[in-house]
Amino acid sequence: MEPLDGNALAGVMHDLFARDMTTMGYKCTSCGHTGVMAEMVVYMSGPGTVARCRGCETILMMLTERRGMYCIDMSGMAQPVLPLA
Amino acid sequence: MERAALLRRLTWQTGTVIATTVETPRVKTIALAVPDWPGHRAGQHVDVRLTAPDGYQTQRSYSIASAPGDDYLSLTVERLDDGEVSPYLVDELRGGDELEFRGPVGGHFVWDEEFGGPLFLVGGGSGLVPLRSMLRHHRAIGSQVPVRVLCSARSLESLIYREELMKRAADDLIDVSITLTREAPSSWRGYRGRIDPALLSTAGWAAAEEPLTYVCGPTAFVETAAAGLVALGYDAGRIRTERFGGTGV
Amino acid sequence: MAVTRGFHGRRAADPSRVPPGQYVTRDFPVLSAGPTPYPQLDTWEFTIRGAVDKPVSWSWTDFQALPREQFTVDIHCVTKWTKLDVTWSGVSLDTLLAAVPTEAPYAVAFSDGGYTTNIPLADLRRGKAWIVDEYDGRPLDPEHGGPARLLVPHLYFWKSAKWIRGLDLRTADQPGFWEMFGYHNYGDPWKEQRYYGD
Repeated sequence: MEPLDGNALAGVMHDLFARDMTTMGYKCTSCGHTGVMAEMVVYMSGPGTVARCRGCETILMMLTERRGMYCIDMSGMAQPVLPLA
Repeated sequence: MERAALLRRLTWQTGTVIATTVETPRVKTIALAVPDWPGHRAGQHVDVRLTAPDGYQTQRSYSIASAPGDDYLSLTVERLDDGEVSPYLVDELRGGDELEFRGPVGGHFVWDEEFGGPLFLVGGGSGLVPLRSMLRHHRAIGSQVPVRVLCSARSLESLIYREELMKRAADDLIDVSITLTREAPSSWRGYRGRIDPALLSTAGWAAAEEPLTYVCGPTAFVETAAAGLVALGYDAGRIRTERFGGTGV
Repeated sequence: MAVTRGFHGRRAADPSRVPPGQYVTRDFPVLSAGPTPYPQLDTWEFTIRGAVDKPVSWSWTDFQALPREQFTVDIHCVTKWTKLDVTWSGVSLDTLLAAVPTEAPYAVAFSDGGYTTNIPLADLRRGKAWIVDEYDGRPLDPEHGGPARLLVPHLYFWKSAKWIRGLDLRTADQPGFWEMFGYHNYGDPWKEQRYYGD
């Protein structure tokens, strides 16, 4: 299964943050790679969604849904820069 | 405060299927009438949700094929044999049906006139869908930004928007190149084979022109194209990419 | 909730074989949280370590020489698909654990690519779990966990770690990859233990 990219997260992230989040900037805590969410390597076929760094495959963000409630963990990224709404 | 007022959570809304158009044996375009459609930016997509009578739901993301100014919201969907949503949309959905979706979403893979150009649009398979929205928008607003388009398809029969692309190619501002990767008619005068740096160089702009590039297609196609463009000296910061899990090209 | 005309989704089936909230699929969906690893078989090892006197490892050749079982079971994924009558072949964990005396009550399965999942050791004994390297009579595809994966069919399928490289036996329980992110610690499909707190 080929991974997708962060563009595929646009819907769910917009739903949660009430704005487009695919242009959110980040810095990988592991390799220092900087980019925007749209460029992350995204695996959506598992129980939850896993977004990895395009530079080093470190997990940047995890997203799980539990009966309509979402849990987001962004432990792999530093300096998230929220786009303007 | 003004900005806060613009924050908008997404809600599911319903569109009515006005028409379906066969693009290739595996691909259909679905035109939807949507009351109070807020408009979209060229390149954005929507999430489509299907609900079975027993309550089972599933959703997928599809790029918008229509221009912001078109009468209807159009989605072009490629049928994936092992898919769950695309076989329904391609085989079963028909005029008059209602379809639930939310959007438009996405702010990265979008083209606004103010971004300028020159534009290089590179699409593999149904990766042409958001690029078609950009091209239509470009024509609808009479943009003077020059555009080069490179399409990759397995065969002429599997190339979507064939007639529309030919029509656009007649425009002085728009240059369309097509490469066929699996089979081409003997009379074919376009390109053959998979994209590589040589083809990207021939069909695109010189790096010195500082093109703004959009690449969309299956993951492997996008990786090849993006790496090739960077190798040609394109500024990685002006290459925008969108990958989807479709079939190969 | 608006029903989509003509959309039937997946088919629910025999409730004695299909746990609550599951739908039967004939496909074998590929679930991944990361890139597919392609380990070299000549350096591949399966290791049982942790709360044991001495860790034990099997090379691919050692593993192939162990007694094998072929069996057919149903598998249930937390993403709501169930696949019936799936035939596997591999080595029972009873065979492997017999080589490693331990009092530890818990195991963390670990895999190439960094994936982990936790399982009580009792759930890996008495013919309930295997390390499998064949699916449907053929070597297991990398995308389905080859060269070898854990198979614990009585728990949700995320417990059946793909690309397995060993078990870390522990005196205290420790949540694995999905368990840390809100999925159930045990994962019994018949009790619909999908999420933490179910």
